[in-house]
Amino acid sequence: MYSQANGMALFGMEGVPIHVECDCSTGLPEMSMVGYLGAEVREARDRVRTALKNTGYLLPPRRITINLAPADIRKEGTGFDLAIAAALLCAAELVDLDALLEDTVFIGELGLDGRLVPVSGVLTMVGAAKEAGYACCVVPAGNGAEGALVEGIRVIGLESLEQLPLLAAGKLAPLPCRVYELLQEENRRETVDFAEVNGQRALRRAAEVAAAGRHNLLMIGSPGAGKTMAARRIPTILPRLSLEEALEVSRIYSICGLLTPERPLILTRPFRSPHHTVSSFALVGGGRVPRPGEISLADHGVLFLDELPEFQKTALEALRQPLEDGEVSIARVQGSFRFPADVMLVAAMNPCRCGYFPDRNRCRCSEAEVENYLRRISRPLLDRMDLCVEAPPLGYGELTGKAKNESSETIRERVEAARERQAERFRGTDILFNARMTARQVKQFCVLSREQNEFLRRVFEQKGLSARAYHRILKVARTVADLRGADEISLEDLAEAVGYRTPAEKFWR
Amino acid sequence: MERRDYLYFLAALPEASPLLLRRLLSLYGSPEAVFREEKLPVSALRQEAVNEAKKRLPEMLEARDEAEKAGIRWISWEEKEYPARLTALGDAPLGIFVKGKLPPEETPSVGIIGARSCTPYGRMMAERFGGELGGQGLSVISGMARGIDGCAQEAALESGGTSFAVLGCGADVCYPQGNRKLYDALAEKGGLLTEYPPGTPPLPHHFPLRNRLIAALSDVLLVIEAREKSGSQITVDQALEQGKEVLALPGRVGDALSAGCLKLIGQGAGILTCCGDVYDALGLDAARIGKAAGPFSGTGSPPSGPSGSGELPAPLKQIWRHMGTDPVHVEELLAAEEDLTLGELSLRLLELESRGYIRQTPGGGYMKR
Repeated sequence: MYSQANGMALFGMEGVPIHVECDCSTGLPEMSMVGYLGAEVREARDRVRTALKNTGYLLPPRRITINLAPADIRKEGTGFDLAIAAALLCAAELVDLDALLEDTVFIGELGLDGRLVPVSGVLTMVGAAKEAGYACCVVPAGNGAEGALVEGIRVIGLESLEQLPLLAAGKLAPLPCRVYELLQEENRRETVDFAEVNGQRALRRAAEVAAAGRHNLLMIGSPGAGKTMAARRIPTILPRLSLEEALEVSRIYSICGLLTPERPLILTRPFRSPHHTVSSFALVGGGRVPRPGEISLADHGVLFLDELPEFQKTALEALRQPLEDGEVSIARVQGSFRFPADVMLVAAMNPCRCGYFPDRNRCRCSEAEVENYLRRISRPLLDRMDLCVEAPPLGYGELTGKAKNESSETIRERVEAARERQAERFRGTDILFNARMTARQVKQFCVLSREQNEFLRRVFEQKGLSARAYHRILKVARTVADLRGADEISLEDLAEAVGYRTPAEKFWR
Repeated sequence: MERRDYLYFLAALPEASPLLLRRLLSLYGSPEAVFREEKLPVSALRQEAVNEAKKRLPEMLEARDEAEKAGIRWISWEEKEYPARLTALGDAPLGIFVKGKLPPEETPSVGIIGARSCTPYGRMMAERFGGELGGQGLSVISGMARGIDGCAQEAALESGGTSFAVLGCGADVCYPQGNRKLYDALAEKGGLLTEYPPGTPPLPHHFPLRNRLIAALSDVLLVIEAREKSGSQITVDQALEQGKEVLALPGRVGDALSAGCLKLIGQGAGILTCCGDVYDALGLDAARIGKAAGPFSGTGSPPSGPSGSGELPAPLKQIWRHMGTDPVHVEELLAAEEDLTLGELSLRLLELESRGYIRQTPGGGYMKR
């Protein structure tokens, strides 16, 4: 007998419906699987057969052929087990699922005892099933919470194959869609707060400006200056994630298997801090079957690179294109894979190898060594860092200071107001933030008076700034003015922006 | 071949010490005799090297003539031009290579030396003393190294003075590479001196030897910043051996880069607080020089930038009063002036900087210019 169940394959950020066909016919008892299968899909044969046996279903001694169609797409992953089992049970007439098979997608991996094991990418696959017009999705119970985030499709969580008769009888209730419930305030609380950062007024201010205009930020300072601490708190001053953003981020996390039943929806801005030994593939994504890298996991959040000069050159250079485009695109023979990568890049580094330059009592690095250390960061990457601050070591008084610092919430309000001004300004264009302004838009939106032009010209000569610094300074000055709620850029705004640029110009002349 | 050529041959022998050459010369009477002798009273290894060099003699002379065309002269100690300050040296080189000029004999010369990795304070003082002494017409002698040496020489040239560098490599080699601009400026306005033939790389053991020439060419030696154990110590020892006066710039107790200077002061070196100290050491009429100098020099006060803040507007004065000879970080300024925003502070700092009152240091600090 023949039957067909629906499964779902994952290609990058897309789900592709797969039809699992099963045929039982006369012949020597055998179970064969075809359809351009990856090794882990091929192994499903043994997993499914054993799981069925251990659940109490006795497969008939017949020739069983299973085909995963369309047969020209390479199938990877372990999520086909459940669809194969369903098709097989129907073809062998052991369970009557006929009513379900037509408009249901089965996703899940099987354990040998018949239990369903969670798989990655359920959120994306359920979303794709809805798009494809299916009415119901059966997923492992462990993935139920993330699957149920998709509105407009019934999602049923299955514990084990033993529940199949219940499913066939329609006795398993679909999971309620909890997405609005999850959006509640208490789930969005951050675990850290900017109020915990003592001293470092300039650094805190730079973080605020960077967050407001979505500028990339580079912090240079000795160990213990609080660079990492400040970076960790930048997501808390960025505007809250919108539902679309949260779902996009969650989809990426789903593909990487990072969603838990307790936290099925990512509600706070991601903060990713890959170690400096990270490979370029791990950083931007890649592999034979492309997977999202750290930069995509930081989508709509902060990608923090601590000890920037220690990163492999290839890894850093691979960042350049995604930073520019806001997405990663990876070309393969099967096609091109795209992963969102709309990140704010925050980087930190020591001023020299020992970390204490220019404190000559502790640092004995020669000037050439200091220069060489800084030069490990290529000029093109540096040019993508709009803001650059030097953080001095903290004194004991500042560490223990009881001074009341501004909370993340207060700063976030200002950032959100500045973001609104930007949204207003860029209405009708394809950008959202000052940092993304093109040269033409800079000319249009960052108008300087004659006095200001004169001032900037003088500063450029005095500091020996490069032409590239010019646009960056104007963009940042625009953000500073937005934070003030002003339409016009003032001299102070320009001076502040120059201050954020000079460290970079000084070090990498 | 002339006597000068044979002398050149001896001087250009790789790694031959001037002391040994002197002994050989007095033993054989003339450079030609030394050249002709097939068995010199030296080790077999060195004899081998001499024999090798003899084969290359035409090439060596050719290279010398070529260098001459490129502006690098060789002056033997038998020539009138040879600096008189060097002849007093027990191990004076048989000849020196010069690119540019030689330090004038009648002009007082002052050596300014110090650490390569220096602090902003040291850099500032090197520039002040180099600039002011150079501006007063003194020859500033140093080693064109990174840090103190280069800063002092740069400042001397900038103020219209002359400066001379003694190198530890060939006169056609710019070491360190980063001082290319200074190298060119020295060749043009001052001079580059070395005892090594053109093309010689800057090998580590050349530098202590080069230091003895710095000491010899300087009438007085200023030590700006030095660690307790440093190359500057070698120059100082040489200078003391040659009977020169040494002045050391005081710093704070506990600063690693002032330890060397403080130790020198403890051992009896003169204390360097102003250019007047240098004039005194040189036996110059300080008052006369002071009068001729600009408004900031003098005999009693340390050299300083625009000292009067009277003409500054109040907002700038408010920032200026925090400035000293140690860098103050923007963060410290923000902590001290709580009412100021970063934008206001940045604007005032830029203004002070463009007026020439302060300068920015690596690491985000500001200090007096």
